[in-house]
Amino acid sequence: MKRWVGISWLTAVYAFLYIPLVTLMVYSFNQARFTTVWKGFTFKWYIRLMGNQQLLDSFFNSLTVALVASVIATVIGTLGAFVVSHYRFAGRKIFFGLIYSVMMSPDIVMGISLLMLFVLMGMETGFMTLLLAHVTFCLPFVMVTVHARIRGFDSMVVDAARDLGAGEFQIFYRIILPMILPAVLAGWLLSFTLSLDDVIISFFVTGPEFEILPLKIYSMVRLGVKPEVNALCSILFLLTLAAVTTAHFLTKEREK
Amino acid sequence: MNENKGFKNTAITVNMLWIFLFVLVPNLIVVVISFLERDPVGFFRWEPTISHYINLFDPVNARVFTHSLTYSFGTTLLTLAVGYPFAWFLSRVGRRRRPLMLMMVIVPFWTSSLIRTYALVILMKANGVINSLLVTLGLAKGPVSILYTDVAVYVGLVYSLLPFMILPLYAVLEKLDSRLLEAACDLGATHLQVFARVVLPLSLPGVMAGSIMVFLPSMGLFYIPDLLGGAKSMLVGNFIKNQFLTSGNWPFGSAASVFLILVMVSMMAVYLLVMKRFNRSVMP
Amino acid sequence: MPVVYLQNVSKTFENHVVIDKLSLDVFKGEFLTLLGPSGCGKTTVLRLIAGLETCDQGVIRIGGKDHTHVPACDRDVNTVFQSYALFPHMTVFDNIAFGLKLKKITPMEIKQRVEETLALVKLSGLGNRRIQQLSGGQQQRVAIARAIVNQPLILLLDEPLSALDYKLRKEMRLELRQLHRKLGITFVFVTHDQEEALTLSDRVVVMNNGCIEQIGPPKEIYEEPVNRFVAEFVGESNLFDAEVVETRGETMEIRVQGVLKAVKNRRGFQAGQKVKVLLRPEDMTVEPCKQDCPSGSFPGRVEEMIYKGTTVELIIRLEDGKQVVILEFFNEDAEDISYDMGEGVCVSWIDGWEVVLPHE
Repeated sequence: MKRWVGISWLTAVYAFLYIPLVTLMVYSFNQARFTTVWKGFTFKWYIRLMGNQQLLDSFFNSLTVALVASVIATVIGTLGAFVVSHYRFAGRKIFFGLIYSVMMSPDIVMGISLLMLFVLMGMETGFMTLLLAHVTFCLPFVMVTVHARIRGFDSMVVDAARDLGAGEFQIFYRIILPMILPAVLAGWLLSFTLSLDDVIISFFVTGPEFEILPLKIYSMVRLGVKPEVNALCSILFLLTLAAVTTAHFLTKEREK
Repeated sequence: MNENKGFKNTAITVNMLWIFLFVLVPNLIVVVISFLERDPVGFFRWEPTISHYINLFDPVNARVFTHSLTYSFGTTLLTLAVGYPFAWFLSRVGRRRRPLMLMMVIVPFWTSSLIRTYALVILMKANGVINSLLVTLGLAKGPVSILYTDVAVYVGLVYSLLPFMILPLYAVLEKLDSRLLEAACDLGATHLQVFARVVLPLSLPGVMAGSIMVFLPSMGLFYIPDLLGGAKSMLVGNFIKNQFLTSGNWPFGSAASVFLILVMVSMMAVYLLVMKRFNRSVMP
Repeated sequence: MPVVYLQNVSKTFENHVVIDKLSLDVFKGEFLTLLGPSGCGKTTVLRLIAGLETCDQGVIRIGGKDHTHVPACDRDVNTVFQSYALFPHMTVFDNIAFGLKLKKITPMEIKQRVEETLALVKLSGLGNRRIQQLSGGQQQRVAIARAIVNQPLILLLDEPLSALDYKLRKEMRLELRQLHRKLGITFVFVTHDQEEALTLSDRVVVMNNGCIEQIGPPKEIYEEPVNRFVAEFVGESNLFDAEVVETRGETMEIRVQGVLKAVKNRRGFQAGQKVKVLLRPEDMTVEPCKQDCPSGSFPGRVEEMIYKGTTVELIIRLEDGKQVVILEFFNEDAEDISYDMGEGVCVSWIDGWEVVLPHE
């Protein structure tokens, strides 16, 4: 009896989580333009998507930002995780507190605060401002992922390397980096997806000249359901799925 | 030696600088501007005032805030009610199958919330999947309006934030030592007593963490009421967005943001306090 | 000239004094052990020599040169860490070769030296193994090999045997001694296990609360502890309160448990002074007694008899309630040692084997 309650509860929640996404994907192959009635199978929305230059441009813009931002965030965040776990320095605690508050603070506050910062600094909103914002919100995720891994192994290893004659950079490059590499890659992939998916922060810090995909989608779906958007969202979902799966296996490696 | 110091100092400086410049400074700007007079040209004037905070208590504005807080409380309770049993059952699934099942929770966690919200639109439209099903099954005569109601907003918020509740809950429930449950049963506790006296107290950190991770973002997800709700469905997020992008009222929008920051700070303070007491009581 | 020389070294961690004005000489080629309870600062002394910590005050000289501010990577000292601290992402060979590679030694020579060292620690042919594929004992050997391959002036060992099981630990002790003899390097060894300290070292340093209590060869530490702490930390002991009755040059008369005893006076005790008499369990004797005890021994009753293979441990309650532990050896010629519970006995000790300490 109890077993059945468990199984049905699990099933129901998984259904709740996945039915909308599956429906979305199924309907991206539906002939009909306006109704949800099944009118036959077609690839035409995917083909039409390929012809939509505006959408492709914004997709390309999103990829660029996500790629550059995630790489920068990964480099800085990895160094940061190393720094906070191996050195004591003034402001270390405040630094830690700020990292966690970035993760917790509502996106919208970050969006408007960065908007005001950029305007006050006299920066034109566009690629640069978007990049800075994305690096900032990806940074803590990289740091926390990598930090967890650094803490997971014996800190004596660093002493051992120092004892054997390694300098600070050599310790980082030869000992720490190879050991945390899976976590670094996972952090990078997560940053990449986060950056690719972000709506709220980007909404405030990008300008009209530099349109990115999530905002393009947002403006399109506000006006109602469009089959091309179904196709586009399906592709994005599969992309995320691939990235998350990879990241998952990278972080899991540590248990071996 | 110098090379050593150089590496260490560069690494520290870059990180500190980035976080201070793009996290601390912007947040200070929000706080400062919320106390300044509005200016139609330059957004704000250097004249101190607390009028924006008083204005937040104006009945029209206060209604938005209480409404938004109701949404957030409701969403937190709903995700807890759905997520707690889910996390519990998931933590009792066989060791082999658990990683895959956990993965399936993580995938929507990382999928764009916008895309997931949009998927709900397809389901809940007047001529959408749910309505078609209801009509076909004869449960409803004509299309029932779900989309553009409060119900739709709740569904959207729960749908977007459920993984945030499940993951921390699962993390604590999975670590729960099953010998404790056996010991409790052995000492004569009923299932309900085991839950109330052993499982629930030990999973408190997960409940707290999950609630914070649902409650805080639920106030800012402005696109959910935009896409799913009616004209009156508004979150604090929508309110702030309007102040910045429609009215161009930076100081007022900042004051509303300070409200969010305060909610966040107080929730984290409560969390840390509870955790401190929890750790003291659990660890001898 | 000592190879390591610490003078008035102090170290404080977050307002807690860990090392308090400590001075210590380590001589070339010796096997020196730092012994003490956990938290006594012995590992900190080791880390100060390694350069992994810097001292707040004092001077550290290694090989005659001031090393107080030289970082770990520039010191001719290597460490075997407690939990081995092997690099999990490298093979056995790469772990051992790590220090040599940093010194920019040619690959040919690296290979040769690693192979030699592997043979020395009896791991020939395991160079390509991953660390996770090794047993605890093998990992221990890799940790030693990784340190000695650099031919350091001093090898530091931080409780290296504590993670091994009893049998393996005894084996490794023997091998460490042999290795020490073969290499001729100075070993500084840290442990809280007194048996390990006594069996391995040329000299033992007993530490407590960041200070040195006694330095000396194992025999001296065991047989002539300078104070109560050393006596009680190294080996088991029975302590009696006593009072000096009369001094006669080299000897003196003391009253202990109401009995007068003649003992040596090595520390110039004065008549009337309160003292402590320390007796090792194996230095005490016990005899069955029917009525009165002969002069110079105290009556007691057997409370517990614990069989330990080659010895029997007797726990005896004296008349005033004090409990003493006595170790009796089985003698091939003698009969079985056997007492009944509660049997009356007379307790004494072999003259001259007592240690008299000032009252603390």
